[in-house]
Amino acid sequence: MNRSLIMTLMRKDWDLYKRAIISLLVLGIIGLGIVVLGRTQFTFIIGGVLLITAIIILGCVLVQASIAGERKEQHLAFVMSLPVTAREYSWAKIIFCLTAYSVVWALLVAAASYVVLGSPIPDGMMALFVPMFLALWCCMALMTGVSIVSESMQATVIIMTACNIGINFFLFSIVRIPDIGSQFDSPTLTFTGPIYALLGAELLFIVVTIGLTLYLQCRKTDFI
Amino acid sequence: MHSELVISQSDGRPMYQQVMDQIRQKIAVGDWPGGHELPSIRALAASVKVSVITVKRAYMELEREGLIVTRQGRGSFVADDANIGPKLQREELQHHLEEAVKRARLLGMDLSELLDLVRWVRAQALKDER
Amino acid sequence: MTALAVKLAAVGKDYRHFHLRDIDLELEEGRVMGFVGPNGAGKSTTIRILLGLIHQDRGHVSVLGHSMPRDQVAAKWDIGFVSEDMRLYGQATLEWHMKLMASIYPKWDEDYAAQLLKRFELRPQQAMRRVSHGERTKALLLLALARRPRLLVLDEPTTGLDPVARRDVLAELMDVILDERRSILFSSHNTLDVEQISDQITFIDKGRIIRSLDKETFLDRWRRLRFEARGGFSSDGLPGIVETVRSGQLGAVVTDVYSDDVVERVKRAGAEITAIERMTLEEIFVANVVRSRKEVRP
Repeated sequence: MNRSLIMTLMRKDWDLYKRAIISLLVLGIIGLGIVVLGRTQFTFIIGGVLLITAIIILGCVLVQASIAGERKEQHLAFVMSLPVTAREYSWAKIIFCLTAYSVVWALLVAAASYVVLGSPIPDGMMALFVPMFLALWCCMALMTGVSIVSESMQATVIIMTACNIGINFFLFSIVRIPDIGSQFDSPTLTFTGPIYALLGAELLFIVVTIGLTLYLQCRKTDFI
Repeated sequence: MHSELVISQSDGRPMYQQVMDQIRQKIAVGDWPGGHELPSIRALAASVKVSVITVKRAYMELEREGLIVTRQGRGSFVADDANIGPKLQREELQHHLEEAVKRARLLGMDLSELLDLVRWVRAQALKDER
Repeated sequence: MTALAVKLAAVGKDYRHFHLRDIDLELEEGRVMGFVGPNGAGKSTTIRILLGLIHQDRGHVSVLGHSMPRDQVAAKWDIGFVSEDMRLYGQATLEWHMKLMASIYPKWDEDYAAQLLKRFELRPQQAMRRVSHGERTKALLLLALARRPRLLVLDEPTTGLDPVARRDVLAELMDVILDERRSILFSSHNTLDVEQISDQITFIDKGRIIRSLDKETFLDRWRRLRFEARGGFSSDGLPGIVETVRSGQLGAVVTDVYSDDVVERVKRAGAEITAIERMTLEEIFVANVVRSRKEVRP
């Protein structure tokens, strides 16, 4: 596989979408700022929503613009005329989307964790936050995979909507898990068996999704 | 890009013939004298914007007529013929006669009828000159 | 025997509503092939198979000596592809695209690219979403030409261009041919362009190649013979007659094997030939399609 071509493709995507990525990063930081500087439950919610929204929108923009949009806007013929195979193209897209997302995600997650662990907010909330943030990453992996494999804007929009709805259900569901819900007011954080199992399941989900995506992409023969 | 020849697509004649005629003209008026090296087939094709195969055919036909000579690996040259002027004109006449003979056959005229017509035309022409 | 830039042998591809069958195509190095066919005939599919973007179901594809689609990357280093439905990134400028190409292709010729910018009258700083159709086509061509590919594959390169732009594009294409190792394959509805610069012409219809011949042979073999019928003239059963059109006593027959014999036979069948006309590529193409469709469904 031609690494330098894959790098070039990723650099190209960065050039094209860096404004969007950076704007959303800034939005997320503003949300975080509101959480940190606010210190009331109201500002906590507002800031938190802004933060999560920024992460979610980033995922959607990355997937919709750089994957589904590239096909819809007829850029695919141009890219495929370059000396790359369809497989290299898929790799470049997956790596770019997940990396760009991860960087912003990691920054915001780290910053949010620092805020929670370092402030009067009960540390036990992390038992909720950690699976939540990981769930956001699961959604990104799923959206990326579905968009690349389906080659359809329609399927992309549907999966994005499903993820947005699904993440809310996920949130309401895990709050019910006693090990998590009980730690809301706890100043100490304890990761128990069920929590590890949940995190493990999410990681497995990510690995399976990405693996399945690569497998299905490699089996395809036509790209236009 | 400066082009030595001009091809028209609205001209009824085939493109290779247009190329041939213009080369013949250039030879007849002395722009391309005997021994002058013709542009390479590709160079002429690119400058006139016609296909290589058309220029190739034109060169082949001109060589058949003895107007140009192609030397393997060295290019094509205008034939070194002192009589090229009159030769060209004679060929032009032959070309016109070929046309006339073809039309006569289409109309079903036989040779003697055609010759009668030629005599009549010539007589008219001589009359007009006086 | 000259090397082949492109060779398709018995290539086939099946879709639900369309089938490409028995595609045999050969393009010698240094030549220009015009690819002509109605919409939906299979031109774009054939071209994409040629580039390795679509995998054929049957047959063998070889481009610049590389087997496709297996070695498509090796081949694509030397192929410039421009297609009418290709779009550059709207939010980026032409200059950005040129830098992208320069970073990928070692053969990118900066000076030639600058020349083309002037000749095509393109502004490098303009965002690609703001350019007209003609400018977009010229931009795509610039990006393909400036890296001096050995094979240029063009899908409708002059469609939608004004006459001046068309002339500029044709001029640049003919410059490519100055190098006898470089070849061009282009599909076009513009039969005038095809007639002018093609060495070889291939007709395709309904997924099949109807004819592939060098241009001069096509133009030599096809004629329209206008006639005045003399009682009882019928072209039925006359060999070499592709089509007959008739209104009362006057009409015309079209032949694809023009020779004195054919003329004689028509006369003997009872017609007086009033004119023998050469046919344009467009007319030859239409006659070919009509005949081939009749053969499939008599």
